[in-house]
Amino acid sequence: MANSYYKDNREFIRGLDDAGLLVTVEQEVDWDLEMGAIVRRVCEMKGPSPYFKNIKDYPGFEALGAPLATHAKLALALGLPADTSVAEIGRVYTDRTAGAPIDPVEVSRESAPCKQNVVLGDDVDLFDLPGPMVHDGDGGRYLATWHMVVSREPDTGDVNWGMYRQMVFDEKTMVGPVLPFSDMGKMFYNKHVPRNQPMPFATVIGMDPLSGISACAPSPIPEDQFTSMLMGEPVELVKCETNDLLVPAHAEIIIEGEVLPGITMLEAPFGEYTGYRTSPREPRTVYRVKAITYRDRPIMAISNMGIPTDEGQLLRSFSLGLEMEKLLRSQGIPITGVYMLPESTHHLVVVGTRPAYAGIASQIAQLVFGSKLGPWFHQVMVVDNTTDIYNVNEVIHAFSTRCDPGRDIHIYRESAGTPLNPYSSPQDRKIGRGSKVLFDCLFPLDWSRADTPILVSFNTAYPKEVQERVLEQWTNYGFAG
Amino acid sequence: MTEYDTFFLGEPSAEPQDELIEIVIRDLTPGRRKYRGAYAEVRMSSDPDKYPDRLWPRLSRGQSVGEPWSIEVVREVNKIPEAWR
Repeated sequence: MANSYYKDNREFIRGLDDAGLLVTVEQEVDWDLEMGAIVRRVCEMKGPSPYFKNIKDYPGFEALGAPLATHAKLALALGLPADTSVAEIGRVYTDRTAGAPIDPVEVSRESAPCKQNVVLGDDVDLFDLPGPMVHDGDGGRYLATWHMVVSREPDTGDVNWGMYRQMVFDEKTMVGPVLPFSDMGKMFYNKHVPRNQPMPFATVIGMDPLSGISACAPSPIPEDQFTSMLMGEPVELVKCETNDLLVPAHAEIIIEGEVLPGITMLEAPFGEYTGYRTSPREPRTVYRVKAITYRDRPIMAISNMGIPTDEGQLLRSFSLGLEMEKLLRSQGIPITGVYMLPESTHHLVVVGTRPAYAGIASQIAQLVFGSKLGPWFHQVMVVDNTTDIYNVNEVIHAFSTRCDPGRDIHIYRESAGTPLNPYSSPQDRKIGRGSKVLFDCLFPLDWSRADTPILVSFNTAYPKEVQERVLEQWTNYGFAG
Repeated sequence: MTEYDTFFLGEPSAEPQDELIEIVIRDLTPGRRKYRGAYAEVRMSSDPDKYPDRLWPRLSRGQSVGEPWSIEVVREVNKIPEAWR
């Protein structure tokens, strides 16, 4: 049975509006910094998504900003009430993606809204799309900030949907980083580059929200199947005009072309998910564009990376954390949950565990850092099962009171890192190397019960019946409910 | 006079002046094509009046240097191999 979900960007916009999570901006806004500045402020305020109806120089185009930058919008995208807790959102997401994969379905181009307008060959011009200048000082206009790039492994046929930023260079050229440990990077550098063979790609802008969530997810399940599992029924895909790749039929804009081997061009800088422009202008991967298709009155989608919280931070934290939870549970570690704080730009993983044996925190850290996703995060904090991992106040309290700086901080040097890590040295960034750290916030098991400090909180320092009476009488005391 | 900007990959003082060099420039003419990039053979100078067009330098992480330079764009260079254009 299908789950409750939004079939396209337009249904989702109506859903955001109905939930009070949308502001429709009727007045003209400039694609050159003004739109970006509005979206940035919205991200920093955790505000409603701006729906831009009039874009300077681009009559007929609209744009949606910050589509999924809060947990309330994420809950809505999954068909849940906006006030659903993060833990419950995670449970629903995990349940829906735990069963058998569901294959997508290919539909005819006649029933695919993304084919309403088709531009091919010499007529293709990326400047016909309102790519925003997102931040002052960026290396160019970034069409692709909330999007997905579709590619396929040439030998196995495995499909990949991923978010790889793309800067408009000229009319038919985009440039962006494709890191070698990413899924698309492995395909491109291991297969296409040695064969000097261009790699077909399709950039999808303004897809339905579940496809976007899937493109951010590090699951081993192919994203087209993963999306279908989240939907509870097959996602509808349609074949591209110039290659055999399949793209979501209800998306707003599709950019088709080839990733070129043997050539790089200068890209960046760009305000990145860490909240800094860390990586400099450098030679990056080149995308040559052959076709653009789009819906009538297309709606761009714009995210704005910077200080928290944007889509990348929120969704990567969410899905990376849940994948780490699956990994740790698969190894039989008695964890109570995993949460990556979006405010840490998915660098800090908080793991709750029952401290069942000595060294459990080190075991957790080594599994997390040694996983495929290890390069993306640098800090693991292990807390016990009395700490609510979703409650920042409790996590900071546990860290500040249980982690002995001389005994419980363990540093792993010269590990895999990324070029985007602000605290790494320029040389470490260049070669993708970085240090990692474990904060062990578990009281040692060899302390006697008599010597172990007792947590003093409402939940631990009062008998159950007193807690229940206080909660029951709370409004009668005169407090708000 | 056309206005461009460019990103210096090192310190501005290390940039060659008055030599024919290849750099990436961005056209700052207002309108839909603003920020179009191009590899180009140019001559440039920190003297804002030496060449016909204006060049606004930035550092490699986007910091604006402030004072404009001047530039002569000799020709654009297409870096895309013929077979893949």
